[in-house]
Amino acid sequence: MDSTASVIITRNLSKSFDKPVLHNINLDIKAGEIIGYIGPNGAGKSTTIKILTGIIPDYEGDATLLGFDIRKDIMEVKKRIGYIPENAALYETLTPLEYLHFIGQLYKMERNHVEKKVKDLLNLFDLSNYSESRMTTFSKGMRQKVLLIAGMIHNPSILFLDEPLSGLDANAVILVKEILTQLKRSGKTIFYSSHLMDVVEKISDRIMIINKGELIANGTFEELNSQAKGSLEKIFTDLTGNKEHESTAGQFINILES
Amino acid sequence: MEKYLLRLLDIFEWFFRSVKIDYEQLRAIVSAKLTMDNRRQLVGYRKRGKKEPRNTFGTTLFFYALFGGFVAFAMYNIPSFILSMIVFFTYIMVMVSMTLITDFSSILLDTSDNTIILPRPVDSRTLFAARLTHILLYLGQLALGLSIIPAIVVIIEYGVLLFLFFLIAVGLSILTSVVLTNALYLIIMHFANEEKLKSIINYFQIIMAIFIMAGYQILPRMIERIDVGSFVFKIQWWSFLLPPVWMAGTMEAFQFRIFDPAHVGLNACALLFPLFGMYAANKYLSPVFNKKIATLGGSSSQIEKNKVENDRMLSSISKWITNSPAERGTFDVIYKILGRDRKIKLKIYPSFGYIAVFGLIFMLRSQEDIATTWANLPNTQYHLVLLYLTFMVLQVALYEIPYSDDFKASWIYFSAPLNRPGEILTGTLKAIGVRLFFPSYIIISTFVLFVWGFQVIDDIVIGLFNNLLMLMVLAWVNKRHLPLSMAPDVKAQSGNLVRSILTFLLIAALGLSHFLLTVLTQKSVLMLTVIPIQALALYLTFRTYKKTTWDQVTL
Repeated sequence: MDSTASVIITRNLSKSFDKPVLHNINLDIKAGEIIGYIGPNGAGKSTTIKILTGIIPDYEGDATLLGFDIRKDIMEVKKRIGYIPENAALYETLTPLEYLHFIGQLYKMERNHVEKKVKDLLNLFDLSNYSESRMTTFSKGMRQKVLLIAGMIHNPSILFLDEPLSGLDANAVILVKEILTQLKRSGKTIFYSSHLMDVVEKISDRIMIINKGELIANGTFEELNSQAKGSLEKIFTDLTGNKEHESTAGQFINILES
Repeated sequence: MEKYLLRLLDIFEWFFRSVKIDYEQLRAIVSAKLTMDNRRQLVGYRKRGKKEPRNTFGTTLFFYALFGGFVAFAMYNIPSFILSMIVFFTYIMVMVSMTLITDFSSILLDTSDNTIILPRPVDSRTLFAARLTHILLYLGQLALGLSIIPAIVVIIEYGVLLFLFFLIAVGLSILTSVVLTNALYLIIMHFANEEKLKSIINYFQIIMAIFIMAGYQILPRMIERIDVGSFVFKIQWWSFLLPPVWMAGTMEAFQFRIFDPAHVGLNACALLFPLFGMYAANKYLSPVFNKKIATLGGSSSQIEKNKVENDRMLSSISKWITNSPAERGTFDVIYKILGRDRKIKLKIYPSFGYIAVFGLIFMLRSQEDIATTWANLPNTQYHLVLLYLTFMVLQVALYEIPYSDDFKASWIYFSAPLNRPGEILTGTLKAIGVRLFFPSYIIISTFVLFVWGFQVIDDIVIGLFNNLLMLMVLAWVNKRHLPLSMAPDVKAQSGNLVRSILTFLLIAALGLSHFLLTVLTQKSVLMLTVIPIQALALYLTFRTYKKTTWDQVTL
């Protein structure tokens, strides 16, 4: 595939549950880009990712991934993408080995191949001592590492991550950041949502801000910076219309002291 | 077990392939789910201290086989063929439906499949088939456990041919229950939101716990009591509304070769309802169902406006009954949590049902028929048994209240400037008393007054104080834990034998003294002397308990 071609294209992507959640989202994402997708809680970040990964099957508008229309060829898409969910959703009564083996089976990977890969990866993430204990007792960071492996074991060309850094300790955050940058170098496209502005600012090629279901900003950090000056945090609060943080904080103190 | 089940599944590989289902993926999903089932904590039989359940299924199977044994015994004792079959099929259908609701609700409503399996290249037909296969395998094992002993009875009594029909009927019963339960779920989900649905399931689980205990206690007793020899079952129009009768009628038709319109009608229902039901469920219900499920986990942003009404009565009670801010705060919180926390309810509320079950067993213990027993009741002393049975609620509540899934929230006790944790402990006791004990004691007292008459009012008052004193004994002798402060899976109050013996002796002494006083003395004298002593003892113990220091609390 031509490296300048768009690998994720959406046109007027919309979704409503009881009330509208996404409204006319248009994305054009090129191969090898790292996209930071940010927005306040409930803005529609997770919904966008869930539609693009085929978890939510009914939506309005069109979406094409790697040249496949996700409405028609979702199986072809799913074979080529990886997804790492938020809030550590995995079958926790299984061991990492069992769980990852199960995931490998769903991709029809060869048994020995999966086993070797999983063992090497767990070893790399310092989890080999726990590879045969149930994940019920695992910390958030350990689960996140298992999820990272589960999402990438089939070597996908596009990776979706929903809040990949929440709950990780500082070392793990650095490791994940490094993995993402190296994945990009090997030509993978990465689409992730996050709350951590400084991380987004540093590693994203492009930043998209979504608010109340609409895309309100889309560009490199420098481009965003020319629209509204300051750090990404400042830009974010300016654009999402929450300018009263300072006065809210002031009132908070006043009420406490009353 | 899983290996054998998967081998069994492999036999049907051709079938799955022929309907264009990806067998490799289906097998992987079913295998993972079976492994997880086997490690799941079972509702009801949970043991503390045993952290990782290993062979959950073996345990359940054993229990079900045991129950099946009771039923087989009942069947053996019922001369009417169709009636014994009705008993069996009612039993198996109720158990399968209840299991579907209690054990499987968490699996059906679990949205983690959505995030774990849906992003993988698994098509929706395969996922649906895998889920259905998993449920049917589970229920199949369950039915196997339940019917193994009855099946032996059938072979011995009626021969191998009927046994084959029996097996088919068991299979059809499972399908019928699955269809009916699914329909029930859909109806409930249509009217209730997720929270309400979970509450309804919670009550089903509580009823299930009572049902299992009652079956265990009452069934064997009932068999001896009820004269079923003369009972004749005739097929009426309403027989067609009861699925177990379809199955029983079918068995009767084949056993005695009766093929009149009524029996043929039952045969048709037995065969056609589950098959068409499954077809309809697959075609029409499952899409609706899946859609509903998908919206359950939906988006976390839609926080429900789940407003709780301000309980005026609670605030006036707590104001009146407590006398320090810390005690009142604890009282309010524990009172509310006892009514809302589903896990705590599941552990404590079945004891209400146990009271009723044991009460009935005691009252109906004599060998005469029910009418005579009832007429003789005022001449017995069983009202004392009833009054003291209520203590079960207090005991269970006191045992369970230190545990909570939210045990980490107990940091507040330590960060708050509390001099004496005794106020927390007494607030908890008062909440248990007001929320759980008094209502049940009032109901039981009303019943006792109704049957035994006003003359036992003194017993009711003395019993009330004694119950509370027993609670104090229990609280006093055992380790003192702060409420909701410990993880549910930590090892419980480790069997201190001396403590348990002491508790038992003191409680037995209190109960026995009441009984002796009733039997031996003049009641009027009793009233005047015993009650003030009790009140004083209660006051003193309570006051001292309230002074519990941090050193006396076991963390």
